[in-house]
Amino acid sequence: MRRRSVVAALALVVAPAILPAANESPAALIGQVVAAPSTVSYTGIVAAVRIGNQRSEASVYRVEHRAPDLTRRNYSAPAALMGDAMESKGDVVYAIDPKRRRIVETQNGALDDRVAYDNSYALLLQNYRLIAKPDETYVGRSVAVISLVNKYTGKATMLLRIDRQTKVVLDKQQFATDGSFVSEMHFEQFDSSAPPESDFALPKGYQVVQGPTYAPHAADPQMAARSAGFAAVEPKALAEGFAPVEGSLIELRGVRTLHVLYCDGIRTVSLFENTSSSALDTTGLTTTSATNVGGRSAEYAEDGATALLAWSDASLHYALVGELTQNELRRIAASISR
Amino acid sequence: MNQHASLDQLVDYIHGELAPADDAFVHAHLSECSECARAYDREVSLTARLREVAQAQERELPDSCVRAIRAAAQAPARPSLWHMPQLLRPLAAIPAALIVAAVLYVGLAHRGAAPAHAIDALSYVHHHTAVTAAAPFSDDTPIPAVLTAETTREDQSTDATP
Repeated sequence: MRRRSVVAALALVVAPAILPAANESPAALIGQVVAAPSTVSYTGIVAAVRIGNQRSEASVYRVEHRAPDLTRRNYSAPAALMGDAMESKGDVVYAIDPKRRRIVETQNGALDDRVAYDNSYALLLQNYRLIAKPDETYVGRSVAVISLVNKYTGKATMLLRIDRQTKVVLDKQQFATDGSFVSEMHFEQFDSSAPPESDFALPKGYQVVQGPTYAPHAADPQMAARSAGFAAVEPKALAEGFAPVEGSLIELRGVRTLHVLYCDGIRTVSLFENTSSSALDTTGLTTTSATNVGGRSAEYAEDGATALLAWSDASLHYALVGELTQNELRRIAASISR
Repeated sequence: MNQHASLDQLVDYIHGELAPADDAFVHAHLSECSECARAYDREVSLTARLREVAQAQERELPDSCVRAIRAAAQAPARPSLWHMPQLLRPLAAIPAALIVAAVLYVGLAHRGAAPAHAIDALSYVHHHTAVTAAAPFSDDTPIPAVLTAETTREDQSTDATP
């Protein structure tokens, strides 16, 4: 909530300076895109797909967004999600399951972490070249097309089609470092009218379950590492452009764990460290395989497009999670040593 | 929540047959009790194995047999003497029952061998997904894990079985 209101305020101050529309620089346009959800309401039908090596995911949902911070998705596909909904109000997310008449309420401190958000945005501008392409018409609307090219690899990482009028992203395609297609989110229908507030009322008579709380005390990564209670180790080598943007101490199934999020502005990788000596339960993940990290045995697994690499040394257990390749994860892992 | 979920509750939870209040209790309890979460995973695996065994037992009937069945279905009703073999049908259920019992035995025996305090790799993934949702242009997960926590674990358990 705080983050969005600050971004909205920035947008109001900056917007008059960066209009007029068609000739604005790509960076100015991206700035308006980032601020748009705080000031622009809309409805639409969205199709989303993420492609993993072994398993891909796709869904179709109706989205309703009421500025500044009310968003609801009503799923129509896949069949398992038919009728389900996700609703977010600020940093609280409700998962609504009509079949079980259940609402799972999750608190996500990261949604309110302005510092991490600003850091990620700064990294995006620092690590990616924004290349404007000719305007197009998309779902009946005039859109600006911007390609985000990684400055270190020279590869296009993201393509955005941005509604000229509202600055809402109508199509977003993401690509891996080898150029392969990773994901797409696109509107099949878009309407810039505001949905009524009554659409966001939670259903009555449902059991409300408290779900997990994510990043409740997000902080500076160095500060989080210092209060971990164990000698945390940081990677000596990250993929180019990556930097730590957020750290927190969390409890994962009762295990005190240090979490540090690294980001290059678009791609992210998380490092988890704890003193647990337990085995890793990879139930629910696909493509689990044994590998090694610096001579130590490690486990690699995937969850759709998200990869996990876990290993232990004499005193700590580590896990790297992100949308990176196994080789990229192994390179980072090999640099985590005392 | 100190009370553990019973085995019956877990089985009914997997199949979505609990009353909303019980369903909510089990859902919340599983996220904070690793012992019950492991029992839940074992039940999901067991269900998947039973389904696999059942599928493995299915056989294509020979064409000649299919033709004979169709012909019999289209033929006029036979005298009641033809219905005698029905009395023997329960015998056919015995091998199936033995297979189910064997799978149950293996599944239950396996329960005791589970590691005591395994770290759930999915909790790492879910935390990463939640935290990155805040980044600019973050890639929203098409299928939120919280909505499919029950169904996907069951499906993936089937996929993962060699």
